[in-house]
Amino acid sequence: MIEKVVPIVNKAGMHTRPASVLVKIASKYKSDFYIVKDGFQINGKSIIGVMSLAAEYGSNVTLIFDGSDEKKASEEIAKFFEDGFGEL
Amino acid sequence: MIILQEEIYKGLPASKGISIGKPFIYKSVIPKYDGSPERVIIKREADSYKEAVERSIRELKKIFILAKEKLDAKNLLIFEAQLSFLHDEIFHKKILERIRTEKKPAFLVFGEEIKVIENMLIASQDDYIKEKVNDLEDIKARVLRNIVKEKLISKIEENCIVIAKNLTPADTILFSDRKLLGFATDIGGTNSHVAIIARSLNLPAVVAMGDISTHVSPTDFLIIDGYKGLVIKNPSQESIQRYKEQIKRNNSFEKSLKEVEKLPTETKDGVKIELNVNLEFNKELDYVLTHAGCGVGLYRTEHMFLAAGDFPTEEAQNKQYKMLADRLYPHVVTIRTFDIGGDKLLPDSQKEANPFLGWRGIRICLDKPDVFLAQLRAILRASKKENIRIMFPMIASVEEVWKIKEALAKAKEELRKKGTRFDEHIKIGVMIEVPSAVYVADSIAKEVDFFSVGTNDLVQYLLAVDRDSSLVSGLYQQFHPAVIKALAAIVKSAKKNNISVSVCGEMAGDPSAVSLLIGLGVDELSVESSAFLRIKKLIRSVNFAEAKQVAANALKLEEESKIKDYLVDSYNSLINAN
Repeated sequence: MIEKVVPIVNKAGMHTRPASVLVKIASKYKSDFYIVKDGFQINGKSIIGVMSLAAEYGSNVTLIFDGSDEKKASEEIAKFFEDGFGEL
Repeated sequence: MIILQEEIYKGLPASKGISIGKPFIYKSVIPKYDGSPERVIIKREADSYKEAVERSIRELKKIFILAKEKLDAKNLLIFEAQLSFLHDEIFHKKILERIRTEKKPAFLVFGEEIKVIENMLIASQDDYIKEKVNDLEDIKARVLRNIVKEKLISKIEENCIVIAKNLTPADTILFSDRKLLGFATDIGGTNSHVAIIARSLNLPAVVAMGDISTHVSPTDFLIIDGYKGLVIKNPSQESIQRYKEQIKRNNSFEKSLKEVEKLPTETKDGVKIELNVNLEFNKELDYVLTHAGCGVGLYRTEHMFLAAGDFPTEEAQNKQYKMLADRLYPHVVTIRTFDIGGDKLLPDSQKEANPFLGWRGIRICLDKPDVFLAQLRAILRASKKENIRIMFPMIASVEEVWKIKEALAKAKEELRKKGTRFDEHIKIGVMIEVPSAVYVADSIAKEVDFFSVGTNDLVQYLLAVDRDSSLVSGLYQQFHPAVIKALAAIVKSAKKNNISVSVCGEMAGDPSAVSLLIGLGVDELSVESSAFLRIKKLIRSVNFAEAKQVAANALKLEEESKIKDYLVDSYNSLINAN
């Protein structure tokens, strides 16, 4: 299991477009993927879950990966967050 | 036994007939749960949820494909997001799991789960994220509506009088193949969709009843009187007896109409008038074949669109058109291309303020060549027997006719390349219902084989009156002098260019308008099948020379009320003389 804390760095936060891209990326991997924010944990492969986190600009979230390809998954997804979902 | 006092409710008579029976109270406008949560069948709830999601996906995809170029980037993104919500398997799993373990209905579980997410979003500090609640509201409404609809289809009781606040065209489709006794609605005008459907199904309908839907309960017993526009709740024995007698009398009048079935449709002095029917549902076809023996002057194709969650495929359309052409042969079948309004396709955020002036009819077809060409090919492929005509709705200019002809030439070329046979000289016509078309009728007439006047829309556009708005429906005057003058101008343009002119709107089925229309020189009338024999009998009692005089006199009058009185008087004297 891998845990990573990442900040939301784009102004618009985790809105519809990045959420749907994130789910697409996560679904490529076999590993389970969860996001934790303010004590809430949601399944990162569920777009409704991701949207419901309401992760806004400046907040931090914890990414949890668990499975055979967890390393590759954590790298790609953490980078997606650090790049501000390609919206910087 | 408790004797209930009878209560009489009044509205606008929208379709003739009398029925006596139990009510079926139809609610669909706002999805609201009305089931009993303590009697949940898990499998049924799970299936109904899955069905509703699938149906919602189909709806969204259809809208997406059709409206792609019409939506701005922001709206398009919302659609994509909504679609991905509906594909969220993890979310669905959670819903199904809760239905199973908590034995709760899908409607409630889904609503609760969405509410949880909405609360999380609302709690956000970020305004942008807060706005996402609206996306969810859209999807929630869509799925809930589909869950309710699924329930409704299985719940509609037959042999009942349908009571509703309002019925949308899609709602009425639900009812079209059920055995029902009539319709009564809170709102709607005498030309609203429910009225038209009721007339075509030969069922009584009363509209604009105010709030009947809140006064009737399933345990009541009703009489609906489509002649006077009445609904009697818990009628007395005397009332029931009186109405039963009237039903008997009406039946014997209907029988007397039978004598004209086998006779030709011509005036007393031998002028042949082409009399056809308007057709929407296959259910009406048997009646047409056995009792009318005529062609179809207007075949509405929208119901195929409304019934399926999707545009019907070329194959499905072709099958339907071919069936009609075969069964009605040698009579003509006039197929009108999709006359749908943009308001049925666009998402709430893109809804037009004036859908009747918006993206509808031929405008959608010309914007969506794939849909249009598929329909044209489906029609052409069914035309081998040479008894099909094609008709185009909502024409406002001659340029539109040119574009239509280009598309038709393209569809024909595609079929020729494949070696498919079709009627090379298939006749095409346009609906004259937009006032601009009346003024350029001369130019349009040179391009087509026939005109068909859609009086409902023509009156509505000419007088700028929404026939479904109860506030102004009194201004919807089908015998307004402007309407009579427009009709005369249309006939004149048609005659000058040697093409035929038909009237397929409600006016064609109005007994008091028959002399006027024939006298103006209209060649063909197309009426709801329930009015066919009555109109036929009337045509046979009209003298063409006298009808011409009626038209000439009506053209001279300056007020609607005078024209109406004059036409009703001439009609009465006609009836009394025969």
